[in-house]
Amino acid sequence: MTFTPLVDTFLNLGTFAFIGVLIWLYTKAPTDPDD
Amino acid sequence: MFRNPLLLVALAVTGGIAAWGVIDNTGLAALSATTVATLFASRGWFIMLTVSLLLLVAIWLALSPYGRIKLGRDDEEPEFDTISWLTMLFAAGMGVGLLYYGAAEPVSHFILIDEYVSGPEAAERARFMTNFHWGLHAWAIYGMTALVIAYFGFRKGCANLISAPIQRVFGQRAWTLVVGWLADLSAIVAIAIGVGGSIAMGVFQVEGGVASLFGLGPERGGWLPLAIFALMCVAFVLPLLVDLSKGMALLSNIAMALAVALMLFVVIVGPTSYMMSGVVGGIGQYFWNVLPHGFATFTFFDENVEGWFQSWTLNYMAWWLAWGPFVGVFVARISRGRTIREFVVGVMVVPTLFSMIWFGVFGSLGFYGILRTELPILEVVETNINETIFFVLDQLPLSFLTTLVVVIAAFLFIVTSVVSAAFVLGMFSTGGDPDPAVKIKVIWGILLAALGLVMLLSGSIDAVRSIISLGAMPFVLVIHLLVAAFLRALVKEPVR
Repeated sequence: MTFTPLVDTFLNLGTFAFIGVLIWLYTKAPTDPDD
Repeated sequence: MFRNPLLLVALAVTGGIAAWGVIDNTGLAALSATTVATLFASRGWFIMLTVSLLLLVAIWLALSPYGRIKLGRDDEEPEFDTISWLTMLFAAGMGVGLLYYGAAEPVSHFILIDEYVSGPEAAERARFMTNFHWGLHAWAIYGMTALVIAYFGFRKGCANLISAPIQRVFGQRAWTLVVGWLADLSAIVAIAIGVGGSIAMGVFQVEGGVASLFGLGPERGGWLPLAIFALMCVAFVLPLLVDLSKGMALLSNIAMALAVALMLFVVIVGPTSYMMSGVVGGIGQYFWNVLPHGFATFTFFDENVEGWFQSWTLNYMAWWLAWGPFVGVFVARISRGRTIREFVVGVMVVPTLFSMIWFGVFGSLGFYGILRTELPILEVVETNINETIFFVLDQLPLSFLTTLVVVIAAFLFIVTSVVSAAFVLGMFSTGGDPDPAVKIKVIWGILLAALGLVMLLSGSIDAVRSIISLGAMPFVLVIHLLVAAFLRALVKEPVR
C-alpha cells in the first residue's frame, strides 16, 4: 500500500469522473434544438 | 428579495464564511490552508491542464475561421475605440496586485531558486516565473470567461449569468437547471471571497506605504490597518448608495495612470539600461518557454519546490479563476462588436505585454539591488513583504512622492474594484438584472467588507491566498462547462 494514498486516489477519481462528464458534453449531450 | 433562493443562499454562504472568520479566524485560516494543500497536491495537474487548454483553445479560436465571428450582430461596430478599449482592459484584471507584487514577487522566487542555481540564472528564472503567473494563462482564464459571456450575451441575447450558456445550449432540463444554479452560486462565492481578499491585500499595501511615509516601525500595533480598512469601507459604500458608475471609471483610469506614471518615472530615474535589458530579455524568454511551461507540475522535485509551486503558481491560477467571472463580465461589456480574433489578441496579448514590462522594470530594480548593491532586499521580502515596493522606491529620488502615489493608486484600485464587484454580485444574484437595486448592491458591499475584514484579521497574505483558492475551487469545474457550451454553440455558426 506504500504507493496508494487513499485521499489522493479518491479525489482524483472525482476528477476522472468529471472528465468523463466533459467527454459526454462534447460528444453525446443533447443540445437544445431551438438554439 | 426574499423570494430569490439564489440570493438568499449566496448571502448565507458568504455571510457564514465571514461570520466564521470573525468568530474563529485562526480556525478558518488553518482549515483553508490544509484543504487547499490537499486539493492542490491531488489536483494540481488538472488545474494546470485546464489553464493550458484554455490558452490553446483561445489561440485556436483566433487563428480559425471562427475568429471572424462578431460578439454581437454581424453588422455591429465596436462600442469603444481600440485605444480606450485596451486601456480599460489593463485596469480591469490586475489592479492592486501589480503594485503589491511588482518587486516582491520576482525577489521571492529568487530566494528559493537561488538555492538550486547560481544568482544570475536564478534571477532569470524568477523573472520568467513572475511573467508566467501574470501572463497569457491568467488572461486566458479571464478572456475565455469573458468571451463566453459576451458571445451568449450579445450574439444570443442571453442574460449576463454564468448559468445562461449552459441552459441555452443544453436546453432547460433538470440537470442544466441544477448545474446552472450551482454554477451561479460558485461564481458568486468565488467573486465575493476573491474581492474580499483583494481588500485585505490593498489594506496591507496602503498600511506598508503609510508606515513608510511616516516612519512607523513594526511596533505600531493593529490600529493602522483597521483605520485604513474603515476609511476604505466609507469610500466604497458611499458610491453604492448613488449611481456613480461614470465616476468609478474615472477613478479607475486615474489609478491606472498613476501606476503607469510611476513605472515611467522609475525607468527614467533608476538604472535605465539594466531595467530595459531586463524587460526585453524577459519578453524573449517568456514567449520561447510559455507553452511547455503551462504544463509544468514540478513532479520530481523536493517538498520545498512542491510547496512553492502550490503556494505561488497554483494559488495564482486559482486567484485568476476566482476573479474570472467578475472581470469576465466587465471585459465582455466593453467588448461588444469586436470579432473573436480581435478579442483574443486585445484581451490576452496586450495586457500580457504590459505585465511583462511592469514586472521587467520593478523586478529588475529588485535584482539590481540584490546582485549589484549590498541592500538588504532579500531580508525585507522575507520579513515584511508588504513594504517591499516602498523599500525599493526609497532607493530612488522623490521617494516620499512615489510612495504616496502607490498608496493613492492602491486605495483607488480597491475602492473601484469593490464598487464594480458589488454591482456584478448584485446582477448575478438577481437573475442577471442589468440594474440591480441599490439595497442589493449595498448588502453585497457590506458583505465584501466583512470578508475583507476576516482576511485582514488573518494578518498574513498567505492565509488570504489560501482562503481565495478554496473559494475558487468549484469554478475550475464551471469554466469547463462554459467552454463546452460555447464550443458546441460555435460549431453551429456558419463560417466562411
